[in-house]
Amino acid sequence: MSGYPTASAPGQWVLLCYRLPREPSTPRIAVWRKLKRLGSAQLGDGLVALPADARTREHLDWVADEVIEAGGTASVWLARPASRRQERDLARHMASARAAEYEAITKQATAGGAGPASAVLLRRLRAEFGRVTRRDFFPPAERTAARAALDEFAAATNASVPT
Amino acid sequence: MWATRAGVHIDRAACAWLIHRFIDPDATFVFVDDPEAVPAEATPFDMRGVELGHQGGDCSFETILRRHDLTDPVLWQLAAIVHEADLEDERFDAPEARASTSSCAGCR
Repeated sequence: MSGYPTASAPGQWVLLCYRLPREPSTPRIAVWRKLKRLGSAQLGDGLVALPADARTREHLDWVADEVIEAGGTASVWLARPASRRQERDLARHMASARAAEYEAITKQATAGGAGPASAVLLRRLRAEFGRVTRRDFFPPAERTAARAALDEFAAATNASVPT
Repeated sequence: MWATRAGVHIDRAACAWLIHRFIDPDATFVFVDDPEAVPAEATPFDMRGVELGHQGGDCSFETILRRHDLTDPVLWQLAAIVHEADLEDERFDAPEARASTSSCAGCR
């Protein structure tokens, strides 16, 4: 599941094609947030994609149900990009979105300092790191950097907190 | 007889345990790839569009607890872990959830 796709043939993706009424906006926003949290790539209006595995297929299945319950229409598809290049572009796009999120973590961890307040920040950043790794299908180098920055921040924080 | 989707996943595995242990000690399970393959005599769970599935923000494990009036707080503690591992929506603070997800991935 990790790393850039390098196999000779493109891998399998799971697509969710959906339409939701414009109003009420609450379910629209809930679905949008969920898809964002899953790290899905937007292929077009109401069309998102994730690399297919048991977990992503299941998640998109449930989102589809949610869309239908909210009065919309949804279908879930398994598909392969027609070319390796297309898949690489998609993966690159997803990886760069994650890279920006890891960079934000690195920046905050580096500026974190020490003292009691830093323990709270550390916990928050670790939780955020966990969230980002869960939606990271093509880990960029920034992931390693963020992990290292968190470890360093943790060492500084623990050294400053009496045990 | 009970039916669910093929493939080990946290919510499904936990539901099967719950059903066997607390609802139907003689339970037999069938695993299907397509919802239409569910036998007529089976009760489907943790599948799209069935009663014992995700309902109103609950995972299937929580839905089964509610539908069967299982109120044991220990089961609800387990439910929090299953919910977090399955839905990852941070409704509960359940650090055990990540390990549960990983061990399920290891079963595949």
